[in-house]
Amino acid sequence: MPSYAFNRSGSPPGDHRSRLGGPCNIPIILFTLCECSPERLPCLVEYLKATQLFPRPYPRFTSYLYKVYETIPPLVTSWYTIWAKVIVIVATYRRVITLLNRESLRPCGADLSPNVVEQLDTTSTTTGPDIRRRMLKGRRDDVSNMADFSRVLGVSIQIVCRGFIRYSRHNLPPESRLPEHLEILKSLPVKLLTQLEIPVLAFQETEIYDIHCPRCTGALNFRNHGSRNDWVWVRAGTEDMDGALRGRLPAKLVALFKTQTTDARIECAASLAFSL
Amino acid sequence: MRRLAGVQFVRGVNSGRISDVHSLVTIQMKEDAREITVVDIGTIIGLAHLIPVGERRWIVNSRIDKRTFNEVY
Repeated sequence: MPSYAFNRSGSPPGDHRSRLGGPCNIPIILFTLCECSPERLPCLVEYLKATQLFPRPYPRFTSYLYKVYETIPPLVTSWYTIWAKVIVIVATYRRVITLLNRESLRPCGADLSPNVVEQLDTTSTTTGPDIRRRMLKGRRDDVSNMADFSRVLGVSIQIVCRGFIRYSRHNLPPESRLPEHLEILKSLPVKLLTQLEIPVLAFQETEIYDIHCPRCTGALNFRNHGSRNDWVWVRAGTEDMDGALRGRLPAKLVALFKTQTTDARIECAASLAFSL
Repeated sequence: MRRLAGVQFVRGVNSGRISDVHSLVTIQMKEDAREITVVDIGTIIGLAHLIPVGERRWIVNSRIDKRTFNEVY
C-alpha cells in the first residue's frame, strides 16, 4: 500500500497530488476514494476488466483522475458521493456506460448530489460495445432553420429538402419521419457546425485512437485562407459493393449539422399554423 | 437531436476496381454534383486522402496511412 491516505473523516483535502501521487494504482485509488468495503473492490475491478472499462494505459487515466478529483467539492460530507462520481467518471472516460445504478450506490443514509443522480439516471446499467463518440464542434450562429441552412450553403431549398426526405424515408422509423411538405421543412430547426472529431484506430493499434478532424466551413474562410470542405470516407453500403472500396465511398463534406426529427414535426406544423 | 452531415458522393471509375497501372482506385464526381446526400455522422469513418488527376477525377490513396505519408513526404 502506498504511504498516502485520505482523510476518512471527509475533511477538505489539501494537496491532491501529494496524496494521490506516488506509485499508486487504480484499484487503490478507487478503494481510497470510495472507501468501499474491501470485499467489494475486487468485484468492481473484475467488473471493470471484464467490461473493458478498466482504463489503459494506467498513467493516462491516473492523470485524468487527478483532474476529476480536483472537481470534487472541498466539503464533501459523504464518501459515497465521491464513489458515485468516480464510477460515473470511469464510465465517461471510456465513453461507455455506468457500472452501477443509483440504488446500488445508495447505502443507508448516503446522499448523492443531484447532478450525480442525474448522470446515473441517464446512463444504462447494461454493458455495450466501446463506441467512441464522434463530436461536432464549431457552431455557427447564422443558421436556425432549414431555410437559413439552404441560404448559407448556397444550395436551393428543393435540393436540400430532397436530401432530407430521402434520408427520412430510408433511415427513420415511420413515426419519426419528417414531413414532406416544403413549407414545413423550411422551418425545421437546424444547427450548423463546422468541425467533426472522429476517433480512428491508429495504424496497427487496437486501443490507441487518432482523432481525425474533418472540417466543413462552407463558403467561409478557414484561418484566413480559402474555405475548407474536407473529403471523408463514408460507409455507404455492404462490403460486396463498389469493388475494392468495399462499400466505403469517399465523399465531400457539404455541411455538418444537428436537427430535431421527432418533435420537430409537431413544432414545425404548429409554427406554420400560427403563421397562417 | 440527430447529428447529420450533408455530403456529395462520388462514384468509382471502372466499378471501383483497382487500376492496373497504379493499383489504386480512381473516382469521379457524379454527373449531378449538386445533389446532397444526408447521412448520419456515425457512418463517417475518417478523413479521405484523394489525389486529383484531372477534371473532377481523383485517385484514392488507400495504400499507406497518413502518418507514414507525412513522414515520408
